[in-house]
Amino acid sequence: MDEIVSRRTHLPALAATFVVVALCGLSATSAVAAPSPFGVGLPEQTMTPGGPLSGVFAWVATQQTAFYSALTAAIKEIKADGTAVWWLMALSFGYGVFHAAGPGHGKAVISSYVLANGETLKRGIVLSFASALAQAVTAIVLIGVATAILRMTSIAITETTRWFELGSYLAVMLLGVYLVWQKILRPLLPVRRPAALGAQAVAATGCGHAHHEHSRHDHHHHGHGHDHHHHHAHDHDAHPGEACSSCGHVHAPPVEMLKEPVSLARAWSVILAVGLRPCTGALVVLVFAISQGLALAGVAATFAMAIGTGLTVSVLATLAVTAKDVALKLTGSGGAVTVHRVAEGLGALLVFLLGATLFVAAAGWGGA
Amino acid sequence: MRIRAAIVALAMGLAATAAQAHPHVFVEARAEVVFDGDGRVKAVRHVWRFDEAFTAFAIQGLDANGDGELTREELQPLAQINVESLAEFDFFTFLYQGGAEVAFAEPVEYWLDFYGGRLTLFYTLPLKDAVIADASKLTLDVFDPSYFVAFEMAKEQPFALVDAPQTCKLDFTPPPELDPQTATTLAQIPATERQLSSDLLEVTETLSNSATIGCS
Repeated sequence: MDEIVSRRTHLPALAATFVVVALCGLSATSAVAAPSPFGVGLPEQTMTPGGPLSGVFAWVATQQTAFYSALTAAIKEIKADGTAVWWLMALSFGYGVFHAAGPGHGKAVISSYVLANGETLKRGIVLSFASALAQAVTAIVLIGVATAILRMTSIAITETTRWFELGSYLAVMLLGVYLVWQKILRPLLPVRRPAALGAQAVAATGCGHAHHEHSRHDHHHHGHGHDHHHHHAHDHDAHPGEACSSCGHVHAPPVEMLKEPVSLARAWSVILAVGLRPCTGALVVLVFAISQGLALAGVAATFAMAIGTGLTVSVLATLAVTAKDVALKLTGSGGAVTVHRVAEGLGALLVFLLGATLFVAAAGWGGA
Repeated sequence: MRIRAAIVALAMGLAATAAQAHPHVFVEARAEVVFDGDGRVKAVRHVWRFDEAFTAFAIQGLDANGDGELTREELQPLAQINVESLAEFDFFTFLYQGGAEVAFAEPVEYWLDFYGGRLTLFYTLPLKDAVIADASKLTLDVFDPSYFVAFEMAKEQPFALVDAPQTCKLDFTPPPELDPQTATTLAQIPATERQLSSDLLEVTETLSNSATIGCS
C-alpha cells in the first residue's frame, strides 16, 4: 500500500511533464496533408519549423534548392563528359546532407528512437546510416521494378509511393505505441508481482541478490531489460529509507544496460519503418537518369545521397545521445534515474507523435 | 527542472528537423487573359512548361505504343490528373478585383505537349462569372505560395490579353531576383502550407508573378 501511495505522488509530476512534451511535440509537428499539385511525385510531408534551430533549417532548405538544380544538370553533363559522374556523386552527397533524411521524418524518428531506447552513440550512428541506405534501396527497387518490369506510369508510381509512405508512417506509429507502452505506461502501472515477491520481500532478501537476479534475467531477455530497471529503480525511489540504499546506485548508471546487444528485431523495425518511404528527390533523379540512358549513374547518385543523409541523421542522433549524457552527468547519481526515464519517455512519445501526425496527415484525415 | 527544460528544448529541436519546403518542380509559365464578346474577362489560359527532370518522371510509362513518341492522346491521362490535382491548390492562379478574390470554375480544354525533352501543360480556367474590367483594376497572380513549384514567367510574352477591348491594358513587373534573405524566408514555408501568416504572405507576394489589367 505504502508503495502504491508514493507511486501516486509521482504520477502527477510525470503526467504533467508528458503533457507539456506532448503539446510541444504537437505544435512543432503540425504536419499537413501533402497531395501532389500535378498528381505525380509526392511532396514530402512537412512540418512547420519551430524550436530553437529553425534558422539553421531555413538555411539548409535554400542549399537543397541549389543542389537539386545542379544535380539534374550534372546528369545531362555526364553524356558529354564521363568524368562529370564524380561531380554528380559529390552533388548527390551534398544534396543528401542538406536534404537530410529524404522523407523528412527519418531523422526525427531515428533521433527520438535512439533517445527512447537509450542507444549508444555507435548504435545511433549505425541506425542512421542503415535507415538512410534502406531508403535508397527502396527507391532503387521501386523504380527498377516499376520501370523495367511493370512499365508503370508515373501516376501509378506516385500511387504506389503513397502506399509505401502510409505503411512507413503506420510502422513508425506502431513502433511509437510499443515504445510508449514499454517506456511510459508499464513503468507507471502498479507492480504486478506475486505477493511473496513484494517490495518488502525484496528488501528483506537483500538487494545485492535481487540485483544479481535482475541482471541475469536481463541478459536472457534483453528486450525487457528496461522494464526491470524501471520497476526496480522506482521501488527504490519510493523507499528512500530502506535498508538497501545501494540498490538505486547500482542500477542508476544505465551503462551496463546500454552495452547489452540491441534487440535486433527492434532495430530492424525502425530501419524498415523509416526506409520504406522513398524520397521524391531520389525517385525523380533515378527516373531522369534512366531516361538519359544513365541508370547506373542514377543508382550511384541515390547511394551517394543516402550516405549524405545518413551523415546528417547520425549527427542529430549523436546530439540526442550527447544531450542525454550531459544531462545525466549534471544530475549525478541521484537524479540519473529520473533523467534517464524522462529521456526515454520523451523519445518514445516523440516517435509515436511523429508517426501518428504523419499517418493521419498522409491518410487525409487531417481535415486539410 | 532545468534538465527537463533542456530535454524538452532538445526534443522540440529534433521535431523541427523535418524536411522544409523546396521546389521539386520548375515551371516556365505564360498566362493569357481572355475576354468575351461583351468586353468582360471570362477566362485565364495557362501555358506551363516543366523542367526536364520532372518531365522525365512524369512521362514515365506513358508511351503506350512504345514508338518513342508521346502523342497528345498518350499524354491525356496525365493532363487529366494534372488539372484534377491542381484544383486542390487553387490552380496556383489568383485573380482579384478591388481586393475581392474572383472565383474560377473547373478547367476546360486541357492537354499536354512533349517537345525538346519537356512537357508543356495547356489549360483554360474559366471564371465562374465573367467580370467587367474597368478602371478598378484586376490583379492576376500565378505562383505557388508554398514554393513546392517554382514558377517563373516566360521571358517573352509572360502575360497577354486575348480579344480585349482597345482600351484595356496589361501591366507586368517581373519579380525581383530572389536575394538570399528572401529565399531563406521562403524556404521556411512548409510545402503544403495554404494559410500563410500576413508577414509570410508579404514575402511570397514580392515573388508572385503579378499582372494588373485595367480598362479605361
